[in-house]
Amino acid sequence: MAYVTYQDGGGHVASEVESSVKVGAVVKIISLFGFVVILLVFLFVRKVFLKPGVSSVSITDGIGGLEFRIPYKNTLYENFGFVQDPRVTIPLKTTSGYKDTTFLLDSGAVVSTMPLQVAHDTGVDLARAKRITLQGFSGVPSFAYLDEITVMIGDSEYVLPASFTESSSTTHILGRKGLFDDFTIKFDHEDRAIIITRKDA
Amino acid sequence: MQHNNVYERIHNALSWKRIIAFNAILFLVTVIPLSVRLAQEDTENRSSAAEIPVVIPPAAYPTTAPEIERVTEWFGKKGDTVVILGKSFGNYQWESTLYIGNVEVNESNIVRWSNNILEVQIPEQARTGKVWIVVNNRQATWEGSLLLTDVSRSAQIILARTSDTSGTVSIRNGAGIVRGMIEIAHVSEPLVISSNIGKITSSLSVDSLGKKTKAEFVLDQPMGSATSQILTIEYPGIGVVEILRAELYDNAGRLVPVYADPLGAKMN
Repeated sequence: MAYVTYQDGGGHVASEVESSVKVGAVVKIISLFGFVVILLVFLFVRKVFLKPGVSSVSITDGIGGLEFRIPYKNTLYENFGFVQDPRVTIPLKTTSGYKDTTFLLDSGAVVSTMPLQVAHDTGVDLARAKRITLQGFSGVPSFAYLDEITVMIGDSEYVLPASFTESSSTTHILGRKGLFDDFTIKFDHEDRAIIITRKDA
Repeated sequence: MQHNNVYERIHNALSWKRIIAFNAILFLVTVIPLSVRLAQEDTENRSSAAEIPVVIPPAAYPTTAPEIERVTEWFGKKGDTVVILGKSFGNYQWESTLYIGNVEVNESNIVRWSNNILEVQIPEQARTGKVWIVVNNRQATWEGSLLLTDVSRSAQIILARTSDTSGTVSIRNGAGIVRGMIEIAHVSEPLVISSNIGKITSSLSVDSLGKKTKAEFVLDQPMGSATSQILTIEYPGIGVVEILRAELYDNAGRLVPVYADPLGAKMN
C-alpha cells in the first residue's frame, strides 16, 4: 500500500514535469513558425483594416488653393518596372456641355491625343483638320487629325491643340503643347504627387 | 514513456536560438516575393510600351519592279499626309523619285520611306492627278487619282451601317454627278453591291493587303445637291468594310472632287 502511495505521489510529480515539458515543446514548435503566423496576421489586418493609401494628383491655383485631388495607380512596365501613372479628371467641352474626362498627363507627349470619336463628341470637323500619320507598334501607320479641344481647369477654359487618332489603343492624353505654357507642373516623386500650379498672368 | 521522450527531445533539441535563426531564414526567403506581390496589388501591367524599333541595315535597290497597291486616303488637302502601300520601294529612297498629284515630292515632304510603306505630305504645288514612283529607273503608277479637295466645294461620300450585315453609300453635295466608281475594301465575302437609281457592275480583286470590290455605276439621271443614297452593300458582317477610293464624274466628264469624313468611311 505504501508502495502504491509512493507510486501515486511520484506519478503526480512526474505528470507535472511532463506537462511543462509538453507545453514547452508545443510553444517551441509554434514559435518555430512564428514568423509565418505573424505574416498571416499582418496580411489579414492589412486587407481588412488597412486600405492601401492612394497617391494623388493635385491641381492648385496660383496661391496654392486646392482645386482637385485625384487618385492614380502605379503601372508596371515590362521593360521599365514601376512607373507612376498620373491621371487627371477634368471637364472636356463637348457638343452637349462639359463632360468629366480622365486624361493621362504625359509630359513626354508633344500634343494632347485622344480617340477619333472624341472629335465627333467635341464637334471637331475632321475633314477640315490637318491629317498626319502616327507610327503604330506594328509599323503600320495610322492617321491622326490635328485640331483643338477646350477643357476647364479650375474655373477657367483653356483651348489646347489636340490630335485625334484612328488607333484603337489610344487613350486620352494631355501633352505639353498648350497646357505646359500656362501651368507649372511639378512631379514630386517623394510625395507621389504631381502639383500643377497656374502661372501668374 | 515513449511520449515523454518525444516531447523531451523536442524541448531539448529546439533551443530559442535555433527558433530565432529559423524564423530569420524564413523572413529572408519570403521578404522579396512578398514585397513584389504587395507592390503589384495596386499596379496594372503593361508590356512592350515604347520599345525601340529594330534598325534594319541599308540594302541595295530591290530586284523586282515597284508596285503601288493602294493610296490612302485617296483625297486630301495640301500638307495632309497620304500613305502609299505597295512593294519594292526599297528600304531607303536613294535616287528614287515619287510624284504626288503630278508633282515630284521633295525630300522634306517625305515622312517615311520603307520598302512597302511611304508616308508623304501632299506638296504645295500638287493638284488632282496621278501618283507614281520611279525606283532604280523602273516606274509604277497607281491606277487611281489623288483628289485635292476643298471641303466647302467638294462632294462628300458617306458609308453608313444600316444593320449588322448591311450598309449604304451616299453622296452629299454631288450635284451633276452622273457616273462613277467606288472601291471598297472588305474582309469577308461575298460583298454584294446594288443600286436602285442606276446601272452597276462590280468586280472583286485581291492584293497583298486583302480583298477589294470595285463598283462602277451609271445613274439614270444626274444627282442633285441633297444627300442621295446611291449604293447598298450586303456582306456577312465580319471584319471592316472601308471605302478605299472614289471617282465621280459629272455629265461633262469632269472628275468631281470628293472627300470622306474619317468617321463616315468605315464600318467596323
